[in-house]
Amino acid sequence: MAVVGGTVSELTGGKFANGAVSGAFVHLFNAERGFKTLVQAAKRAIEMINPRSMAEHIEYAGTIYKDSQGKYGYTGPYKGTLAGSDPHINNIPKNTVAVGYYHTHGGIDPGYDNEHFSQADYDYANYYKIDAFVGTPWTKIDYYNYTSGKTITIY
Amino acid sequence: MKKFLLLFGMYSHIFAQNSLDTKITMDGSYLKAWNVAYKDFLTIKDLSISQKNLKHYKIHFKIEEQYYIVFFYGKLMNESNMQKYHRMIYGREIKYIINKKDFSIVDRVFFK
Repeated sequence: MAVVGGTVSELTGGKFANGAVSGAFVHLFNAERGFKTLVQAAKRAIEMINPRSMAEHIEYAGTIYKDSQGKYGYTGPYKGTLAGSDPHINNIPKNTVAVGYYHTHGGIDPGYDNEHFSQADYDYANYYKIDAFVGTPWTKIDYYNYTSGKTITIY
Repeated sequence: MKKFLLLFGMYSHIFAQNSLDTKITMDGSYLKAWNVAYKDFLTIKDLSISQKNLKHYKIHFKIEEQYYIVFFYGKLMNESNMQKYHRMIYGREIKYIINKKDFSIVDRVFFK
C-alpha cells in the first residue's frame, strides 16, 4: 500500500507535514491507499487504530476515498473525544472523492451504547451521501450503506 | 407484540417547513414523559449549559407496550465546528426509557 503524508515522527512535533496544527487532532499512523474495495480500506483503518482507541477511551475517525484508478484509501485517524469524532471529510488527496467514513468507539464506557451507530452517524452519512463504518470495543465492525439504508456487521 | 408509534412522524413535514399556521395535537402523556426526560437531561453533569440548549437537538418519541421512549438526537454541526469540537454534534445523543405506569426512568443510554 502506498503511504500518504509524512511519518509519525513528523506528525508529533507541532505541525503536520501538510501544515495542519497538531494538538487539535493527532494523525497517528500513515494513511494508506491502493485498496481494491471500500470495505478493505475501512477494515484496515479501523484495525490500525481501534486498539489505541479502546485503550484511551477516545474515538478516532477518518475518511475513505476513491481515486481516479478506482482504488480506495483512507485518511486519518483523527483524534476525537470520549463520545465524538470528526472524519475531516474534506481532507482527502487531490483527484479523489470521499465515498465513506470510519470511526471507532473507544472503550467500554458505562452508560453508553458502545456497540452501535448513533443517529448522528447515520445523519452524517446520509448528508454527505457516503457509507459509514464503526469499530467497537468488542472489535466488531458495522457497515452502513447509505444507498440501501441497511446496516450490517461485516467483521 | 410491540407497538411503535413515531409521535411526530406524521408531522415531520410541518417541522421541516417551520409552518406557523398548523395545529398539533398530542396526548398529554407524551408531554409527561417528556417532562421527566427533560428534567433528568438538565441534571447531566458533564454536559455544559450550552450543550443542553434544545436548539441543538431534534426530539423524537416512540411508544412501546410498556414504555415511552424519548430520544434526544443531536443536530449535525457545520464542518468548521466539527473540526473545532472534534465531533459531529454539539450536544449528546440520549435515549430515555420511561415507564408508562409511573413515569419513572427505567434507563438512560448515551450514544457515541
